[in-house]
Amino acid sequence: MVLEMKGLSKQYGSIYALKDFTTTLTEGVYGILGPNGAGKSTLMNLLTDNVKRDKGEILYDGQDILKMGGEFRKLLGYMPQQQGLYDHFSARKFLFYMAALKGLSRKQARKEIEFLLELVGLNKEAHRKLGGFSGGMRQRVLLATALLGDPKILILDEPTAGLDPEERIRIRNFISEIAQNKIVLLATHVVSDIECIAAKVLLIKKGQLMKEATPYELIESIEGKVAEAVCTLEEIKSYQESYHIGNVSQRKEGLVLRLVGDDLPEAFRPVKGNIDMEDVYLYYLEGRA
Amino acid sequence: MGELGRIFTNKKIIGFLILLFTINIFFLLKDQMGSRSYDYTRETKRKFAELQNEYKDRDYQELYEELTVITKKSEVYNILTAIDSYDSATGAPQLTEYYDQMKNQYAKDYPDLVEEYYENPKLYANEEQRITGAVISKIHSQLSYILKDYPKKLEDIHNQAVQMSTISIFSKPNSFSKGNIEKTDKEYAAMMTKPLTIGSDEAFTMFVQFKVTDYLLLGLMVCVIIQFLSERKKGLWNIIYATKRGRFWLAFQRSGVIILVAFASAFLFYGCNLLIGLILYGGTSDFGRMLQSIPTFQNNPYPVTIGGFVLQFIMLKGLAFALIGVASWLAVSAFQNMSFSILAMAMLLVVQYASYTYISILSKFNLLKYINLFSFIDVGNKYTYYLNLNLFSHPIGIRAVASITLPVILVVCLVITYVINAKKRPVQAPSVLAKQFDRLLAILSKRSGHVSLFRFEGYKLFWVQKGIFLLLILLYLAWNAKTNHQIFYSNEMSIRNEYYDDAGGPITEKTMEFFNQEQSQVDVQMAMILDATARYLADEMSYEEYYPITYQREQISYRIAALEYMKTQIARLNEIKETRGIDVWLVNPLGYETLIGNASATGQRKDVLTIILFITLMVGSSIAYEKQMKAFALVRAIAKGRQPVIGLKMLWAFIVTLCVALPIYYTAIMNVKNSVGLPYLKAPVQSIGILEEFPIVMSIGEFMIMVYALRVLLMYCMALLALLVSSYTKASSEGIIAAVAVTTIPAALEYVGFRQIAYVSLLKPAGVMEIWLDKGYQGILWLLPMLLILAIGISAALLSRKRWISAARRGV
Repeated sequence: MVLEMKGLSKQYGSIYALKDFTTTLTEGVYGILGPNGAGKSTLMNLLTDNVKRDKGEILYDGQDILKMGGEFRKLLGYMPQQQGLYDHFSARKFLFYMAALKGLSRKQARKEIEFLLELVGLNKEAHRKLGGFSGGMRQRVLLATALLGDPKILILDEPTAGLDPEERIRIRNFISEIAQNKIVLLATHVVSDIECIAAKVLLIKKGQLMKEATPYELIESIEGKVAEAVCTLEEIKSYQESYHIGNVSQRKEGLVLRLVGDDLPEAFRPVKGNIDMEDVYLYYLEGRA
Repeated sequence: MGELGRIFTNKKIIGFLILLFTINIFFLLKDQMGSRSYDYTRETKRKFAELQNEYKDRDYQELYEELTVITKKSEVYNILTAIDSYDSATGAPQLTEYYDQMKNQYAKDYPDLVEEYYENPKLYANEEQRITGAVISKIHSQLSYILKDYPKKLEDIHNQAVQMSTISIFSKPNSFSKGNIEKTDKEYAAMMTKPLTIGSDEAFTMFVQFKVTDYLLLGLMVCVIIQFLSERKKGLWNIIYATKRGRFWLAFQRSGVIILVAFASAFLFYGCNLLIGLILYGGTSDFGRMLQSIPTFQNNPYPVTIGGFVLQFIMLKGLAFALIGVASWLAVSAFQNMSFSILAMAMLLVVQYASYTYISILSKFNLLKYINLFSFIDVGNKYTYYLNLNLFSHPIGIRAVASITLPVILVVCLVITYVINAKKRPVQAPSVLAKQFDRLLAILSKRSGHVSLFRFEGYKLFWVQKGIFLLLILLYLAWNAKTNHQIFYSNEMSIRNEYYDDAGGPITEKTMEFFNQEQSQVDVQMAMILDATARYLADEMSYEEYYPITYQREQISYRIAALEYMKTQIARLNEIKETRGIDVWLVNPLGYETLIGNASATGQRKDVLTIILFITLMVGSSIAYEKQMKAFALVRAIAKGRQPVIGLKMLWAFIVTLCVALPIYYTAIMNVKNSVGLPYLKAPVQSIGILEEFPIVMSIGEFMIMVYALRVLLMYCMALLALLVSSYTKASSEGIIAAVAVTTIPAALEYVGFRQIAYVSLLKPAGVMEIWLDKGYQGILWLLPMLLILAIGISAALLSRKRWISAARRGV
């Protein structure tokens, strides 16, 4: 199972939302990282054919997805960022409707829906109207919708937003578990999700693919580019003007400032061992603006 | 007031208010103008004002006698004109003879008037004179009421009271009967000294009788109350409740909004009704007349001028709508759960309406009928109907009941509502009932569940978008049309119907024999009548002896006319048989003409307008709803989210078309079938006069099926157009408004008289048969408007499909 994107471009007026985007995906979890407006949602909309592409092609096992049409969409599980649901439907009814759209049998739909409701922790609320659901609950309904019907390609836009830590871990593990024979595309701002489950990370900025590598490779690539030092509040303010600041943490020696970049001040001690994807994000997507 | 501003800066509310106002004016004009032209109404108003001014200082008795002579003259002129316009060359010979005799009789009974007529037969021939005649007749009738009928009514009431007080069962001390008789006599006695005057009555009669405004304002009040629930809907209740002014003060402000809206809308809507009435009929100088000068108000015993009545009417309406608003708000506030709140309000209104409609005035529970929201709204009833209720053996008038109880109930409801709104916390442990309901829902939800896209699309349309309620309203209207259906026949038509019943079917020798026999009988009767008339004219018979003969003469004239008509029909049918070889039958065409003929065009247009409106209201939100819910991208990214979904939306649009058209047409067909009959469905369609030139040979039944199938098809085209319009909007309400603007407003405009847009309004091709029946179109041109609508429908379907499939690609 191969999903190829070749020279994919989408332009809104004079602005490129995606430009010459080329990559090849096989089974596994792919994390997509990028700041707001980087082109993540456009990429997902192109994959779901919700937006018309200007240039390039998307091939699934060598076939253009536009020519495949409904056959391709049968393989898709999509969770959009926008929480558009039918407010007058109950959660269970909504999932049954989605099952109908996916062409599931009643028996299969019932089995999967009850399992997914349990998984996303909504089994006790499933008879209530979606209009009364909180943002987090709506997010979980959308995730269950995407997972319904055992899709081969999962496109998830912010799947764990609004979940509590326990639920987030459970969902993350579940995605990881089912990703064996699937292509999972995960766009999120929660970089720890990507760090934990993504086999590969696609870094996107201004519609272009900046880098594509495993989390380990990415972390390794910025060794020596992350440093820490104990600072006063005034010093933090002055560093903020010239450097990209990572975390500011309170430790017993005082406020510890973490900077990410190529030329760091000498007073800062390079970090070894505990570099994470947040540093990668800052280095590639914020640091090299 | 911030709350007032919040509600009335809401575009939807403003739009709704404008819509209600437009509907009010539309129905008012439709109701008043009917088949009358505006010019005729204006001229009548002008003439009435002129004569009213001329007669203002005249002695009424003297004027009445003068007008009696003029009215009689006009009557004689009308009859003689009708007789003279009878064409003896083409008419039945018996009728010629009959009319000659009638003329002779009038010459004997009213020699001066007949002589005057022959001196100037065209006196009432033009429109101006006809209008003058009608206005004089109206004033004459008013004088008759003022001088004779009303004084007699007062005298009868007094005499009856005196007479009844002598009967033991009505004179028991402290009994309701005794009190009622005495009170009635005393109250009406006050009117004996009040002078009644002539004037223009129609504007005020219409003002009190036009009920559509009541329902529209009821809708407005419900809409305002629902706006108060918006914070619950948006999850803002707890935030508002936590603010300083979010409890009692907010409730107080809202009560102000309800009262203000009730009074302002009462002044606006009813004031507008009166203004339209005054423009149409005049009466601006009549506000000082006694209300009882208008016969509609003769049962009102309380002396009041028309001006005083108008003010009281509007104030009481405002108060009644304020109470409806406050009572509904109380019902809504009593429940935490929004669905329960809406249900409580609906239940309140339904129970009140049912009590008002179904409790008899003689029932011992009749207080529930009159201390009732809908009774309070029906202010006109308090001024046109006199009734004393039994309140612990004391008689109390229905107007007094309303005037006393309405403000008291309003204050009580307000106080309770303030307390509830101040004390009821947004977050509360669910009640036992709510818990049980939730549990039941959970069980039902687990057991239900299906994967039929067809059912889901139907669920969205009928349940989520409230189509089922529209359908219930439509069924109610259809049922109402069925139960209120009445057909009036002329005397001649009744006799024709008898002939059709007796001799209808294939034309055989037996048919001819039947009519020959009938002709012989008529000849014998006519000869007898003519003989009697001759004897009366020769003074061989007194008028008393002759009078019954005049009645017989009138009856036989209808019979002769009907017989002539039947003979013409048979001759026409025989000609078709000979020239075209079609074996046509003698069929009563009345039922078919009522359903598809030009004669009933207005009724058919109304049916089509109703159907288009309901289809549009139900389908207009279909695609817009998807956009409003923002589930578009998700649905379309799923295998069956494109072609199957839009295909099902179109299929449901067809089902809606059937659901709306069937009850309306079923009612129309059954009404005609039960009253006039739809006989001989197997007979060739050419048997019906209006369809004799129809080029294809088929049975009447087949033709009717074809006509109704075509009508439904054309209406489906309108449903598809509504679907397309819906796809250009982003919210259900916008979709409905836009679709109504495109499909229904052209039809409504055509209905009220803008004939220029007839071909795109659907009323012409789908509503009436004039295109089919007009022989001037050479049998082919009638297809054009129909094809235009079909082309619109097909294009709308293709474009809707394209837009659905490619909508998100455009970034929607």
